[in-house]
Amino acid sequence: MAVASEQQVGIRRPRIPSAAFGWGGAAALVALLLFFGIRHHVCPSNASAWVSFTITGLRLGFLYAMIALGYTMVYGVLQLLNFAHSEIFMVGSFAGLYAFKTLFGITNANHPNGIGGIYLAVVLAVGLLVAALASGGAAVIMERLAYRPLRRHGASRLAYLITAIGASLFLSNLFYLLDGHSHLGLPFNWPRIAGASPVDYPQVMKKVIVFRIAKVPIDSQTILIVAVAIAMLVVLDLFIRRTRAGKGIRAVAEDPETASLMGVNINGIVVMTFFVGGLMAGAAGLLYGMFFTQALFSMGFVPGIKAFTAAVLGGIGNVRGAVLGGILLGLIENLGVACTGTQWQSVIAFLVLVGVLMFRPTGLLGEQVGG
Amino acid sequence: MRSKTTVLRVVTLVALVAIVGAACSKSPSASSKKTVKIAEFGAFTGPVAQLVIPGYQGAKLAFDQANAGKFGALPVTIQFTQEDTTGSGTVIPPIAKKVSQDPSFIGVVGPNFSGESLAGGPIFNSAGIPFVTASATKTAINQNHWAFWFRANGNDDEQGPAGGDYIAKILKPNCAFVTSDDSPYGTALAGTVQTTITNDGGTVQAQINAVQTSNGSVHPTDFSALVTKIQTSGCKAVYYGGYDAEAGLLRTQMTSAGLTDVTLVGGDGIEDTTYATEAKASGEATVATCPCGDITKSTSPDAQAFVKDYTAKWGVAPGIYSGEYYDVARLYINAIKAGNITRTAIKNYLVKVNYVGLTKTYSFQDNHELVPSDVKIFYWKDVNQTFTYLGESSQVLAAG
Amino acid sequence: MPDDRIDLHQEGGNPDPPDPAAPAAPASGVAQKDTAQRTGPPSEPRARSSLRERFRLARSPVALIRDRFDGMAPVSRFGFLTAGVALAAVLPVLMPHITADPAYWTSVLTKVGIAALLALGLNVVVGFAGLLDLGYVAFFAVGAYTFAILSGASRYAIALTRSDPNAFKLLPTWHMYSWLFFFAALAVALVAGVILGAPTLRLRGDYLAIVTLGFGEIVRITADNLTSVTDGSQGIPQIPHPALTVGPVHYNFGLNDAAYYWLLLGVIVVWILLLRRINASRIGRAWAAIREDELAAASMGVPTIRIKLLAFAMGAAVASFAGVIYASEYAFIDPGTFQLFSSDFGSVIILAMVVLGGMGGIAGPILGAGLVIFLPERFRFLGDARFLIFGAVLVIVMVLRPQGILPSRRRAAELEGGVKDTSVFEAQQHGG
Repeated sequence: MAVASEQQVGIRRPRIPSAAFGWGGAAALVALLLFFGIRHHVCPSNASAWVSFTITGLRLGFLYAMIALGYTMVYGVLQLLNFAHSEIFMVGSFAGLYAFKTLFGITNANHPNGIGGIYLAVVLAVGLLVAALASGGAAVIMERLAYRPLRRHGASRLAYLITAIGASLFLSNLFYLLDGHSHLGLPFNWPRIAGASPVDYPQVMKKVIVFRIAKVPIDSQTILIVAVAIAMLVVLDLFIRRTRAGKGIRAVAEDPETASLMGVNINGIVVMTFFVGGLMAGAAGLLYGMFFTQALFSMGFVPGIKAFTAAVLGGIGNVRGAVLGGILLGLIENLGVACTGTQWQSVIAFLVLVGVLMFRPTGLLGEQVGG
Repeated sequence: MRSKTTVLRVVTLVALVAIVGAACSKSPSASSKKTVKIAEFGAFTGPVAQLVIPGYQGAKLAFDQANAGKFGALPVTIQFTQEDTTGSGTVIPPIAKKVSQDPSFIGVVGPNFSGESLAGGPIFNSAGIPFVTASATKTAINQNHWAFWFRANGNDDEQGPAGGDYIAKILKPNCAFVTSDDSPYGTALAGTVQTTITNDGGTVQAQINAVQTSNGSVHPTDFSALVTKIQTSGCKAVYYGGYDAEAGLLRTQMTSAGLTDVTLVGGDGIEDTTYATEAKASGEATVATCPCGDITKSTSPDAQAFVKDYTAKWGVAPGIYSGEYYDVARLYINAIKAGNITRTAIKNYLVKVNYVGLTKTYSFQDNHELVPSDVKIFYWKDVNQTFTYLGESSQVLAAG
Repeated sequence: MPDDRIDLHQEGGNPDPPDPAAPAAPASGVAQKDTAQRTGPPSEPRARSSLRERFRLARSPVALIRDRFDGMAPVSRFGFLTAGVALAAVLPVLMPHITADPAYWTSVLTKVGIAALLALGLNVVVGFAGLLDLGYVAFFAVGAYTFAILSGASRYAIALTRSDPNAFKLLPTWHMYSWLFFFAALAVALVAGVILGAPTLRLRGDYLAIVTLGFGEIVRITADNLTSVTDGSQGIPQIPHPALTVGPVHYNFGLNDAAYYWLLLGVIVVWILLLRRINASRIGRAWAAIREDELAAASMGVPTIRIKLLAFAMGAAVASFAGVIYASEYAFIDPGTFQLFSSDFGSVIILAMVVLGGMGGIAGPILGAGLVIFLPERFRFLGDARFLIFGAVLVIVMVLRPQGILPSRRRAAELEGGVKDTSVFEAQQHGG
């Protein structure tokens, strides 16, 4: 609706031919660059390198997509750039770690090669549940303590943004200080949960090579990440489209005043949005921590910024857009460094974002929750 | 209503005044005994603190022993303070000025890292306060010709070639992939290694600056793209210039991507328990160079006494640069014991010093670097998840 | 904002309130009207009268002073301002009498000065024109790096890193013409502002935010990796300190923080005077119009893109000036200084200064800059925990006073008197 009304009120929006021209031009440019890159041995010329970058990109892309959902849904409902979402992701990662360690007693010492069979499925399911619930809970608490008072006072968007930044600093530094030592002159030791250095993730699932594409091994954890991500994204899409609560979220995103007149409990919907976004981020946190073998207080920063970018790329406020944006961003980032150095990863991601926004000012799919 | 608002205003005002006042209140100096101060500049908080604290603990031990009279009667009491730079060139200048303008400070230990040395150096030097580092190894620092700067350790021109030579002459891989984080330390080291391997006739694929840590403030965990690059290069040896936390993850992710037969070589930034515990079994056979010997393996009675005292005081065994900074502290203590309690006197003392410390002999050249023959680079190898001592570089290379 | 959605931020379902204007000195009748409205009894809190509510609505002591100030005759107002500047100017001289660490606190004072200049510059972009810029530090970096490159320090740094034995011959020195580099950096930043702004300013608020954030990161990463120009992460040391030769008098700024502080103070005063003039002019009214309703402004014939670009470029120029002073004072820059979340001058921290202090005015951002720089230095003994506290303080202040500690009059009026009525009232007052 938002998009349609923009057209009505006359914001300049390129018509389809110019967009098609732009995309075509961009594609031709990329193809040309690649051609010369491979010819001059700047880019790898063997297929397996490209396959390898693609797989890396897809894996990362699905994780970005899961985190991006939280940004996009909160934005859709509140028009709030929730900077603290990256810390919600971090909380989920730690929750999953401790679920494995304390609920199941799995450590690297007693299970150096992971576990298998039905037990593995149970452990993973419970771990994902705990991580998701912890993140969802943290997001709801944050909404209750930090954002709701602002909403009540009718604060400006910038006040929200600064609150979000404050909450982000608070959460990451809180985990930094939870290192088992005494801080702030308090007479007791803070619980030892995170701290300055990374905490090892127990190796629940061994990375075994399941199959190969063009000699590139695909390991079990990559398959797990993609499978869990797809399952959760499908469930979320159904939730938003089919259920009553999902309709509520869409209604509030579309027009909160009318929605409240129609009897939608706005506070309830806002809490629901934060909770669902937190669930996805928590699950992503566990998968991310497990794959990269550790959890750290600052681990949310880079994926957070990237997921935020992905959400905007797809059209912020748009659930399917966030998924598309996440996967695309993961791919672009990794394929992009094939011909350059990994240090340019972020530059490539942001340049692509600017390029896309030039042609489509509201992202690839426009901005509506539920599409 | 109105009066309550007024009360609130007054409270706010009082609170503001209190904060400002507290900032400005002079701290009383009631000590009748003559005290001189020495400050250590380093990252005591933040993600790189674990590379600084063992060194600080070594120095602190020496100063405490000195005050207790272990090294004979001192003309003054030494107060050793920490100045937290978080390892950043932006943070150091105000603190450096604070210490420089306070005449009770007669010397500085550190700065620990190269970047902060470059940022703080002009301030210390113009204030004429001696500053002695044992861990800022960027070679170019000596080109500033600072009269009050001393480096009580080797630099990257000594450590880098040792790393490069190990790859080119011992590992002899088909090609070497040289990469680094974006720290001044890591990039400089990787640059030297790249040159060395090329000069030794080896093939190098370089991607320096590949790991973006924003000067140590971000700890990246995703090395997939870099690992794929290494995979694509087909090289059987990787040199990583950077710190332990990233190196450990890089190693783990290389192994799980199937690069089990690729050896990782690094500098003193990875020669640390963090690396060994993080890389776990995949870290096996990793080689690190370090201008630091293993003080715990030393047979000299002084070193053994140091290890015992250090462990008793801090509850952990000496770590990276513990012994080196203990020696730096001893340089200051000896200067003070000889009656040098002004900044310039200490500098003049250090210029001429010839002191046999725990880790090496200290005597400075005209550019205030150690005499090269005093600098030794050692190889360390990760065996069963701890770095074990391989030996001094020239001997290892000669043995092949 | 061309947005048909109702903004939940307002309880009553009003669209986003117009961001504060600082009607610096419009027609004096309007100013007096404002003042009269404000010095009257504070409107009774409508919702409830909890302590929190009162804190939210309380006017800070500084705001009270400002109200008095606005009621003064122009002459005494001028005298008052001069006295304020004079007081700020003698602070470094008084330092040895109020603290035991004068050099340290003078250094912090200079840092506050740089932050205040940055906050005042960002305030034009965010507070006046209503554009959310999350990459403001990029222009600070552009200024600092332009200066470092032009002054020859980067050439020296690269030679050092390459262990060139003749590097010391390249050691940069300060010449009288080096003052021109200040303005060269300003020009480069202006161009950078236009290059970034021209394609992106048609984007709506939050899209602009992420694009500017990306721009900030691109600048930093480029500085980090373009080793042949910037010496990358090694940083650039030995950037020359400014010196001044007037006739027989020769003065080198050297490591004397007070000198930089006075320089900054001068720049800030000039900038404030300029800002008040601009804000009262057509351009200022155009900014207010765009901020409140871009579509209406466009249909009234305001060249929106050009006017927004102007705000962007002015902000960029101020940031680059701050960058040049920073580089010449600290004599060392590296890409780490210009991170998004850098605790000193990172983009979000500057934004926090502006919003915390109160947008749209002049005193607000200065106060915000002072607090955000001073408090972490003051509580340095807390070590790592101070950032935990800083985060909590940001949240608490925003929850208690979403308009900032010292908002511009207009924003305070909006929040005290009910959003809808006031904005309509104001719109009528200003009459387009």
